[in-house]
Amino acid sequence: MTKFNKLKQFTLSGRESSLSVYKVRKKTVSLISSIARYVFLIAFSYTLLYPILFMISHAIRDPMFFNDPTVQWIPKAYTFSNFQSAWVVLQMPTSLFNTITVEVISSLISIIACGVAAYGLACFKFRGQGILNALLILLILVPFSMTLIPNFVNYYNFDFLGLFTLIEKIFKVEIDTNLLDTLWAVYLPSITAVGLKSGLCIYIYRQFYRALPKELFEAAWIDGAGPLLTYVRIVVPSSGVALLTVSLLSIIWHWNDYYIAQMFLTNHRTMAVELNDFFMHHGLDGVVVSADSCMAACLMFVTPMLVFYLILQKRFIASISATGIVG
Amino acid sequence: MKTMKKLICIVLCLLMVFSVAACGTEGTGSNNSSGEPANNSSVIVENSSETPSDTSTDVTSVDAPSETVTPSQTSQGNTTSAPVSNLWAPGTNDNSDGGTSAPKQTSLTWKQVKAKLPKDASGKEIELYNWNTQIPAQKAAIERFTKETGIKVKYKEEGYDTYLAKLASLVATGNPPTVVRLRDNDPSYMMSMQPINKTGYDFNDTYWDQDILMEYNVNGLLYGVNLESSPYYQPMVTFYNQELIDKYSLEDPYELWKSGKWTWKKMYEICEDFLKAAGDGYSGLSTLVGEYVFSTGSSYYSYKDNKYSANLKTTAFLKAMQNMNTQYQKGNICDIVGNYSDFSLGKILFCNESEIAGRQSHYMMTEIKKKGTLRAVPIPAVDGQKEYYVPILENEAYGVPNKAKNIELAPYFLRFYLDTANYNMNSFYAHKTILEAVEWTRSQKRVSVLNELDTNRTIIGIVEGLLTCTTSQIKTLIESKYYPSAKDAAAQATKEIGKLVK
Repeated sequence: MTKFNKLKQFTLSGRESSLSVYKVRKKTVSLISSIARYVFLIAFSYTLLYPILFMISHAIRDPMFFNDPTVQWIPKAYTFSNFQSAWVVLQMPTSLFNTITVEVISSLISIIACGVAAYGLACFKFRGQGILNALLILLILVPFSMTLIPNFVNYYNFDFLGLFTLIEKIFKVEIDTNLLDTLWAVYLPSITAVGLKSGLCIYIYRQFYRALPKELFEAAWIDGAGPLLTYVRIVVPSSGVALLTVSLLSIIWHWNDYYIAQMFLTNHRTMAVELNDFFMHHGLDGVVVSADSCMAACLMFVTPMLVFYLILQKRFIASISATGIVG
Repeated sequence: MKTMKKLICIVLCLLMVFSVAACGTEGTGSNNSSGEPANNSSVIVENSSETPSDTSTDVTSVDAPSETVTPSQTSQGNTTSAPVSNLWAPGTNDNSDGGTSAPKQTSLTWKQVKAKLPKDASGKEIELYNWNTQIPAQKAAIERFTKETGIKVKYKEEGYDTYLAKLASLVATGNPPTVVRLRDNDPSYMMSMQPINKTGYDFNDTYWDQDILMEYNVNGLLYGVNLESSPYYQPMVTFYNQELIDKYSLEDPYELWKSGKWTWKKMYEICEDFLKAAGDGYSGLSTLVGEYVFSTGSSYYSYKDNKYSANLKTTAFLKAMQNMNTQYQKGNICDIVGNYSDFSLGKILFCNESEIAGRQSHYMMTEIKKKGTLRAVPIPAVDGQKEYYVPILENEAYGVPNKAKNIELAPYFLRFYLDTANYNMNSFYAHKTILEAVEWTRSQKRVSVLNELDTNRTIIGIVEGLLTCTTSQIKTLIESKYYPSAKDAAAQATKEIGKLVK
C-alpha cells in the first residue's frame, strides 16, 4: 500500500492526524507547482523553439503549399529540393570555406588574444591600468558602426606609424598597404584583441582571472615561472569555464557576423553574406529562390552552431564541477 | 586615480554632447540645405481641410484632381548659385504642361556629344558603383562604350545593405568610384556626393530626364541625372500571368489596354471572375504601395512651402483607400503586400510592381519568367478620370561622389550607358509586352512614390494597416499637418492608423 493510500485511509476512517493532512497538502502543492513549472517551461520552450520548428517545417515542404492554410506544421508533401536550391544559392561549399577561414579562425585568434589581454589587466598592477580599464569599457560600449569609417580608411592605407613608407624609401621597394579584401583586415583586429565583441570577451576573462586565488600565482613565482609561463601553465588550465564561455560566444558572434565581412572582404563571401543576399541572386539554373528555400538555407546556416552549442554545453557543465571554481 | 576617472567622465560627456549636437535636424541652417529635395512633378495637392463629401466607395465617382502643381510653382524659389554657367536651374521659366522649367535645346546626338569628349580621355579608367550584379546587356553596353571612346569602365558591385556605408568609407579613403547609382534623393546619399555640375558638362539637353534633374536638384545644385530614354527608369506596371488568363478564359488585359478599356474597375472584375473560377487559396492582385492612390494623381504626402504634409484626409486619397479596402474585403487583394513570390508560383493573377521585376535577369518572378507566361500592361486607368498618372517607384539616377577622379568623363559615360539605343531592348525584358508598357508610360504624367528610404517602407506599412481597417474607419483619418520631413509625416500617419486599427 502506498504512503498516500495509507494517509487516505486514515482520513477516511475519521481518525485524522494533523500530520497526514499536512503531508497531503504538501504533496498537492508540490504537484501543482510541478505542473505549473512544466507548463511554463513548455510554453517558454515553444517560444524559443518556434523559429527552429518553423524553419524545419518550411524547409522540407513543397513550395506549392506555402500559402495553403490547411498546412501548418506537417507538410502534405516532403521535398529536399529546397536544400538543393539553398546549396546552390549559398554558393556552397565556397562560402562555408570562406566562413571557416574568415570567421572561425578570426574567432580562435580573438579567444587567445583576449585571454592574454585580460591576464595583463587582471593580474598585474601598473601605471595607466585605470585608463586601460576605462578604454575596455569604451570598447564594449562603442558600436562598430561608429568606428567603421576610420577603420576602413585605416585598412585602406595601413601605414603603421609610417614604417612602411620608411621601408619603401630606404629599400626602394613597393609595399601594398591596402588590407581591404585581404584576410588581414579581419585577423589584425583579432590579434590585437580589438575585433568583434573583443571588449566583452576581455571583460569575461578579466573577471574570472581576478577571482583566481593569488596563492597560485605566488606559488608559480616561487618556482621560478615568469609571467608567460604562469599564464600558460597555471591560468589557462584553471580557466576552463571562462574559456568555454568566451569560445562559445565568440565563435557564434563571428559566425553570424555579416557586416564586417561585407564591408572589408568583398571577395570572401561568407555564408552570412550569401544568406543576406539570398533573394538578390539572379536567375540561377535549376534553382527556386523562394521563402521555403530561404528557410532551408537558414537551417543550413544555423545547424553547425546548434550542434557546436549542444556539444559544448555538456563540457561546460562538466568543467564547472571538475574545477570547482565558480566564476 | 580619482582625477583620471573624473577627467574620463567629462570627456565622455562632451563626446555625447557634441555627437547629439551634430545630429540636429530642422532649424539649423546647415542641415536645411541638404535635407530638403526639390518637389516631384505632377504631385496633386488638395485642400488639407477638405472633408470627404460622401461615403461611397464607387470607383467611378472619384473626383478629378482640383489642382495640378507644376514644378515651377512648388520650387523653393531660390535663385540658383550654379557654379557652372548654362546650368539647368528650376524656377527660371514657367511651363504649364507640367514639364521642366529649363531653357531647352534640341537633343544632341551621341556623335555630337562624343565630339566634345576631352582629347586625353582615351586610356583613362572610371568606375561604376552599383548594388545589382551586372547583367549581360550592361556588360555589352560598357564594352561598346570602351570600344568607341577608349575609356575603360570597371563595374563595382556592392551589397545592398552596406551600399551607403561603403560609399561613405570609400569617399573617406579619397578613392571613391567615379559614377554612383542613386536610388532616390535621400540626404544620406547626397552627403557623399558632389554636384555633377562640377564636371563641366552642360545638361541643358532634352535628352536628359528633366523630372529627375529637378528631383535631384538641391539648392540649385544638381546631384543626380538620368536620361529620358533610360532603360533604368522604374515605372510601376501591372504584371499578370497569361497562363491563368488562358486557363480560366478571362478577359485579356493586353487587349483591354490596346482598346482603351483597361481600368481599375475592369481589373477588379477580372479578379472576381478569377476567384470564382480558381477557388480558395488564390488572390486577384498583389499590390505594393497602394498604386490605386497614385493612379488618381494623389499621394500619401505632398511637399508644399518647404514642408511635407500628409494627404490622408483628402478626398482623392480617402476614396482611393476606401476602394482598395473594399476590394481587400472581397478577397481581390492578397493580404501580403508585394507578394511576387506567390504570383510567380501562380497563386495570384495580377502583381503591381516596378518594371525592374520584368527584366530578364532580375531575381524577382523567376519561375513565371522561366515558364514564359509573364506579361505586363501599364497600371490601370481610373474610371472617369481624364488624366492618366503612372507611379514611379524609384527615382533612379546617377551621380559623382566627392573626391572622385576623372569625373569629367562621367556624363559622357552616362550619356551612352543610359541610352536605350545602346541596348537590345527586345532581350532586356522577359516579354515584349513589358517593354511596350514601359515605353508607353514615358509619355504619361508621373507621380513619384516619394522615396525617402524609410518612407517607402512606411508607405507599405500604411497600406498594410489601412487594408485591415473597416471602410468607415478610413473616413476618420488624421488631418493634414505640416511636418519637417516625409519621414515624420509617415510616422505620424502610421501612428494614427495604428489607433484606428486597434
